[in-house]
Amino acid sequence: MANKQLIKRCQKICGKKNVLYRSIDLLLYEYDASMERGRPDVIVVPENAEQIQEIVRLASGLGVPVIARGSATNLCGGTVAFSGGIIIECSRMNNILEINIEDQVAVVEPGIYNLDLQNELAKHGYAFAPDPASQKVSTLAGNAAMNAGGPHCLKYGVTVNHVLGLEMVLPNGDLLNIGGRVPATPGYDLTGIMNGSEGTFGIMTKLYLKIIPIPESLKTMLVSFTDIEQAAAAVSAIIAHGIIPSTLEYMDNLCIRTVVKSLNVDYPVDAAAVLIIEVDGPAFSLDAQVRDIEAICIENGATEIRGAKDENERDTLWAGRRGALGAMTRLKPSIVVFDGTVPRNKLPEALKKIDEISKKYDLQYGTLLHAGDGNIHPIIVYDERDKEETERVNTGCREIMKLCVDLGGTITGEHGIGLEKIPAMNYLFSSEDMIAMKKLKTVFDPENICNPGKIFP
Amino acid sequence: MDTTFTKLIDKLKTRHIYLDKETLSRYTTGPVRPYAVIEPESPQVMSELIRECFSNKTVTNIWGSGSHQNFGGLIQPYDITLSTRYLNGIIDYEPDNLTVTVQSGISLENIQSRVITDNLFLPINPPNSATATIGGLLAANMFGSFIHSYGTFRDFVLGGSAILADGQQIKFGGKTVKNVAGYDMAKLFTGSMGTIGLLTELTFKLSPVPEKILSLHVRAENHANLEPVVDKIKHTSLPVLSSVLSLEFKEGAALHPALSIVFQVRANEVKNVELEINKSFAQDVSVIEYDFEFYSKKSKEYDAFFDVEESGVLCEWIAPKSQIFGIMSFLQKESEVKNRHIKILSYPAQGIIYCKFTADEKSDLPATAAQLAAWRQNTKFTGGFLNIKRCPDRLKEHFDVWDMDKDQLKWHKKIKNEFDPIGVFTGGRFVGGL
Repeated sequence: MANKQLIKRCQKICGKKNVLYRSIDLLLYEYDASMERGRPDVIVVPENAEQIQEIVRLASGLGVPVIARGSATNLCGGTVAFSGGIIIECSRMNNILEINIEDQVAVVEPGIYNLDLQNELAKHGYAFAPDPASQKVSTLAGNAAMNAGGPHCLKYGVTVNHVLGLEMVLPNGDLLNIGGRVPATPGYDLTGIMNGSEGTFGIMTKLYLKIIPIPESLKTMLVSFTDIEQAAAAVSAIIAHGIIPSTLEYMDNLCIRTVVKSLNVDYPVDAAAVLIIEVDGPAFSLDAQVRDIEAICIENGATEIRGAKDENERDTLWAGRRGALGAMTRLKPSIVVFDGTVPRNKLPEALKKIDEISKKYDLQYGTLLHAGDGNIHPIIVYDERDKEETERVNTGCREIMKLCVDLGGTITGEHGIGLEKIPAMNYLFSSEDMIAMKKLKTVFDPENICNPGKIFP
Repeated sequence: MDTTFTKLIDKLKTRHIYLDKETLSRYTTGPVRPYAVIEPESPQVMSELIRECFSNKTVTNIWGSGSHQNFGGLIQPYDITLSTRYLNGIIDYEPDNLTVTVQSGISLENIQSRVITDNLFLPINPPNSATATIGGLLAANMFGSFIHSYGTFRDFVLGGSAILADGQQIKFGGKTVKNVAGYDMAKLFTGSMGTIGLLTELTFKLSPVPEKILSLHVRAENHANLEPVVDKIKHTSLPVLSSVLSLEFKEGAALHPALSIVFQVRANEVKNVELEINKSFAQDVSVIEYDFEFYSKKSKEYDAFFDVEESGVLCEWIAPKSQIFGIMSFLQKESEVKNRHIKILSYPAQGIIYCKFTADEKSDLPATAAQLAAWRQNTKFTGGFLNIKRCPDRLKEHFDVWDMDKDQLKWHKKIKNEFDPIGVFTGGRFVGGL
């Protein structure tokens, strides 16, 4: 169908003001937070599930791809319109439909920002545990589609552990309700399968979320090391001791210096690495945990331990960590945020080898870790206009992904495969493994219209 | 015996093939007796066997320890039983990483006894499960009172391997807690009741054993008096491990309502937690301190509830948490109106109630089915589900044990059809008779 007709049909469904098609619109929706690019044919911003159903039926009838998109904080090209098509942008569907404290459930629309939900829940003394670093702007459906993590998932789990049910528009236009307000439902775990499916099975239009009471108290500390391997060893030692902090984050020296310069936070610029460690729970329980953690860190070479005395100091400690990625983007025009995971006890080896790979390819990088989970984020800064440097970055990334797999880990802990990591799927899975996974795609989207070209080679 | 099977058995290179009556009787499920029981020594042999079954259109039944063979609906006829008896090893155990990879035929008890030596445990406590295989428990999505603090299998299975209906061996997930590469097949297999593949290996996230357990029992005159206590459990910051409410309804009277609340604490927190318990829950309650190992054995006292006699019916209500006490009141009324003795075990802070009663097999089954249908309809209004965990087989002819709407069922059938188009893995017990 000629574009004009497609646009007209979309306008008929969603209303003229909710359909974007000018060159500038298409340009703005050509990219997400990754380096991937793909121009859509049209963008729709529906107001409700019924409009999404009609758009999907239209697309299905025409064989036109549909790509769900929240805030496009996606770091792997998952929301890029690789094969053109209709981007369904869910930002208008951003309501909190219900907060039910007695059931400990929140029901939300797909476009609600994670932090907006957190702020609303906080008024009731509750929280939604997954807190990705992008939470200021990332949407709940985007979090669920990518099975997002965040600093607190060490103790509380990732998004799939907190999504109880979904309402979804499937690629044939059906509206399907799965799961609900309860912790277990009969049959195949469709809610579990949909989480992390990167928008390839359908479009979420409602989410039923498990909410938890905000812990009574928490204590945050910043621990400095002069040796990155010692910092990594301290991480393993804390967990091996039976302590599960609510967060256990790592930043290396380049990240430290960058956030100090950009955000004016008081981090130790001479430290090789810092750990940001937080424990939460009943107030009486925290001092003993903090003492144990301090002892373990000192045993593993910590040179300084700073505890946040109040909420302001805590916010300051976290501001550096949460702003690290944004700060790093100021170093060079382009950025790749790598997302491998290794078993925790392989962290020292992984960090050492990543450093070797980076030296080999002359890459400038800083490292953030969700250290408690072994989830590594080397942030490589470069200039994509420099083709030679770009090639070195790409080669280096492939070697880092291979390294993570060789160490018993995975190529992506929380960002997803999208487009960016498709070539690396072969490091992890055989073709038979992927054929099995694609059976699910065949079930839900036999015409392959939902976010096609993603995840699998 | 059918020549198809003779040829199949001749072709297999495995020692553990049983054709004798005694063994076949032991591996009978409901009215269905297999023609052969085969216990492959390795996943490779199992894969070859299933490939042969696929080629010959032989229908199989997967057998772990057999503890949950009668679970779910009526099993459909099958030809041979595939036992995971010899797939029972620990493949990889990394206590520093809190992960263990095991073969699916290992018992939960054997896993626990291995990892406890490093003060770790697999945080699942389904009833009557000590000898059950981990593959069977995961395939049936069994859980116990630890659901309060640790969730269910889906919350700590990281990955594994399976054999599909055509004999293809596949790997899924990994060994790290955070892993979003590809689709989450571990979630697909959890609760799939052997309908789409035979699990051969599973990797789990372990948890540190609680240093101390504090147990508190609250008794009341009726279940309604316990509701405020359960509310506190739901919203407290204290480290609750589990909460279990038990009572009986007989002719409308509530008998022995009791709430057991268990806390998991660090050794140096015991006194503080005791103080907080007294402050939060009641004055001068008796709090008993245990070591975890002792508590784990003690908590099996609830297992007896899940033993159901032949004519017994065991229902599982899963409902929004706010509805739980309303459901109990409803059951109290039912016990009066229908003159039933109903026993209840509930994880109230998680919205789960188990209730059991006896159906008079000879005359009462259609009436029981109608009653269960009414109960299920009632559950719909609350946004919950009512499944039947155990009941006489004859009742299953009158009533679908699974609570699933037809919209969802449509997609379940498609999944089953995609993964097992010719029905190599026998059906009948899963939702929609799949």
